[in-house]
Amino acid sequence: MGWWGVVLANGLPWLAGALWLRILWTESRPGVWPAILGYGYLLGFLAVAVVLRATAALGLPFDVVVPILMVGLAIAIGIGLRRLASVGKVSLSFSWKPIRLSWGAIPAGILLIWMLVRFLDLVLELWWLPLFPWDAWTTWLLRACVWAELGQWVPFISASQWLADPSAQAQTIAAWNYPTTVSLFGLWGTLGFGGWSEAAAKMPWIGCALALALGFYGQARLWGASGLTALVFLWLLVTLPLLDSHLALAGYADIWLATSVLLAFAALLHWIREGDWRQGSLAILCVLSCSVIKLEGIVWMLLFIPAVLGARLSGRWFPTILAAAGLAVGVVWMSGGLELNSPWGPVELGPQAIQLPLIGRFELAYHDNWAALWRNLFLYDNWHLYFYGLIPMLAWGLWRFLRSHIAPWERAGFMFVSSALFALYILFFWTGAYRWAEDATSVARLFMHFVPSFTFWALVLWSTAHARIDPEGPDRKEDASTPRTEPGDRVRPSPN
Amino acid sequence: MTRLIRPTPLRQAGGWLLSFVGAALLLSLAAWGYYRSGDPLVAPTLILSGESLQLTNGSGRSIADGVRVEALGSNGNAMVQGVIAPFEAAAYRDLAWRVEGLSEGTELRLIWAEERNPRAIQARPVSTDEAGLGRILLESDPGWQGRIVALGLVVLGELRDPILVRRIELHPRASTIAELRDAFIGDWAFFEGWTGRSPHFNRGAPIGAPFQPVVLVALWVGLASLLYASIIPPWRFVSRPLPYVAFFLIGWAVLDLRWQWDLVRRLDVTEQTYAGLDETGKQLAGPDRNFYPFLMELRQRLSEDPSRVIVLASDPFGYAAMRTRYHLAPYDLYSGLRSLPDPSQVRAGDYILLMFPLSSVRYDQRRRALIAEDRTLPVDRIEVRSTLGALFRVREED
Repeated sequence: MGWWGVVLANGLPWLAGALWLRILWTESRPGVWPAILGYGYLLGFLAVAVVLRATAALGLPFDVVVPILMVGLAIAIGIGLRRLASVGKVSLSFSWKPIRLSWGAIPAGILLIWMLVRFLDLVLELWWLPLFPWDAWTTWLLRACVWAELGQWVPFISASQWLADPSAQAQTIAAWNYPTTVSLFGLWGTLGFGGWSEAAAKMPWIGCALALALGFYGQARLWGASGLTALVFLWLLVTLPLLDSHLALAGYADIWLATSVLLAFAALLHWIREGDWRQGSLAILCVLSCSVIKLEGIVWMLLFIPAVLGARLSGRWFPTILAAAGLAVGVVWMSGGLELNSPWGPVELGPQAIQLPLIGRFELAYHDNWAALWRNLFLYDNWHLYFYGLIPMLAWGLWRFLRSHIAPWERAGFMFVSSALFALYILFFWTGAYRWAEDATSVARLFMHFVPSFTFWALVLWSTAHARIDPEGPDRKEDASTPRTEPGDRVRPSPN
Repeated sequence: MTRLIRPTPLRQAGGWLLSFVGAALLLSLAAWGYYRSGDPLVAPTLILSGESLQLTNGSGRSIADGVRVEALGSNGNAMVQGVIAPFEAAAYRDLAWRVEGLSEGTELRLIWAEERNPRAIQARPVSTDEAGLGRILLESDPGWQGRIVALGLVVLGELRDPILVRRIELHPRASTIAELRDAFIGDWAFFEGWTGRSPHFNRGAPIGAPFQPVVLVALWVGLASLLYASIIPPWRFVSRPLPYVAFFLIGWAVLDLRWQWDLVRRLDVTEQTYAGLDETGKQLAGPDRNFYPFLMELRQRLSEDPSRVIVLASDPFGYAAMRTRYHLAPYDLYSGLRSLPDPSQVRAGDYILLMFPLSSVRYDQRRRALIAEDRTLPVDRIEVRSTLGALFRVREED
């Protein structure tokens, strides 16, 4: 099919996902379309990965699956368009009314051009460079290459199993047990091409970056942030050197996980603030997607639990639960630990080690890793001034958190951010992963999983505090008789 | 409660500009004051003590604190030399030392030798104060020139009691403004290009760079914010975060413009290396160009049936072995062994790829077998026109 096939492979899931989300979001609020496009891409590709995996389990070859799936997506798009047209409230016509530009359009325009130049630069790198980064050609896209070249699914097993089984029914790589989802993304991209192509396999990474940016911006605007505020925070996010590197050197799974975590977090905050079941559904889907993208996504998924608890529990209960959790940890620690068997494998929680099924075993011991953290967060140019700016935001967030009357979403946001930082602290200071910080192989990448979410958290704090936006959210029931609120309008006096 | 005053627009704008410029000036002055000593821009301070001091004549011993000289040699002196890498004399202007226990009748001299005439030892008499400390300025010494390859202290005269040579220090000369400027430009214009580490971190400056861009800009933002807060103190005036945010955003923009410049240079290299090439051409132009033809020849030699390929390499998880795994996909290939697998782990029809150099396995042509220390594997050799490796196919035992 060549490059037209690649366009279809990347465009059809995106269009299908976006259209079906549009059916759910029929209102014309600022940010709806960018959010729909962002979530639509991720969810569309996840759906494709699920279908590919399911058909592989049935033993169907890819040359049969691909056209069927493409037709299926086209049908889904057709049905989606019909349903949209039948909804009636949505007009697909374009208005030619002149737009009045304010002075804010100048910096907004500058930022847009800045980001566009950056994006084009990175896409050209992706296009011209051969498959470059280590994990891409040893794991994520190596599997895609094997499947694409063989035209069928092949399982990957451990080296010891492979050596013990000379029947050649499976292959082996070092990271044989990593989730297959990201490899399936790359596979879908190259199946559109009609054979293995490094460039085609990397194309979904462009969509992922766009999904991250559009999802961020859309959710920011839906929150009520002004266009300029949303653009400034988006610019801070997409100009991060490490994030840029992961687009230019496509093939790692970290940018996908960062996107999933961000979209989950943003939807969760909206859900808590507004009670919107659509945001809740997106939050749940994106949280679950974390677990199938990278192994550590299973742990990151659990970090949403303290966020939800922070939102659901009132001020009196929350410190009580925290204290009880701390006491439980202390009891387990003092008693020598807890060991049990789960359906997925042994679980151990103790002062010497933590073992979690599907994740692995971590021996616990303190490692003084502050110098490595300083280098990777504050000295190297991975993040520009990001972590210098995050510190005052954390201080401000903590000060607000300790006050008695803040909105549940704000408690949830702070709990998520602090839980994530705590998890990273345990990982890099108390487990063997301290070596990853010392040799700088993984520390920045793991922080990258949360940086977009931290940025969104900073944006909602800033917007709510400084743009006079109602912290309780916009009016839930919106119809033609309800005046549409614009960012900056004084909807209700801020409780703070 | 004191009522906060709203600052006038003139005070706000003036205060902001003053903070902007003032912070830059203060930072420049601080950098000049910090680095004008010459360390590390001109050269690092050399401190020779402990193991970096050796007694090369006379008797005594090395201790943790330095060198204890107990007696002069038969030629009437004791010599303590520093273990040094050759350095340019022009980079260092003064030398300090600490020698304890010198008494009347004992003479101390500084000695050194220059690369062009290493046998011509330069010597200067030096002295110490009551604490054993001494210092000499070498800038104007006509013998202090060229490239210094040896440096030490020699003790002459009468040695009644042991002396302790604790330390010799060389201090670089002061940096000039031009050197400060060049170091700043060098750090900010640092270019590394895409490397295998790029997805893990972006260093952004040379290791140990004195003008780390991120730290410098963060210091500027902090200083500017402090200055602004002192001009428009928040306990007197109505304070908004926008001026402080503006400092932050400007600092970010400066770093990002620099990053964009870096990206443009990287893109230029990428374009010159890979633009317009097909996927095979890219491999032949890239880091695998020296062994990609070998791997493509191997692909032609491998049969199309689903045989397994076991790679043996001295570094089975290194770059070459892993790239072989990738380039020979979708062949069912495993790289993780440095020697022959157990016979139960192979079957007739499997391939064995030896990546050279590999000393643990050899091919016996007469026996048609691969031989390792503790096992033998019957194979047929497949001719490959390369010295990078050898390909074999496992056959049934005769």
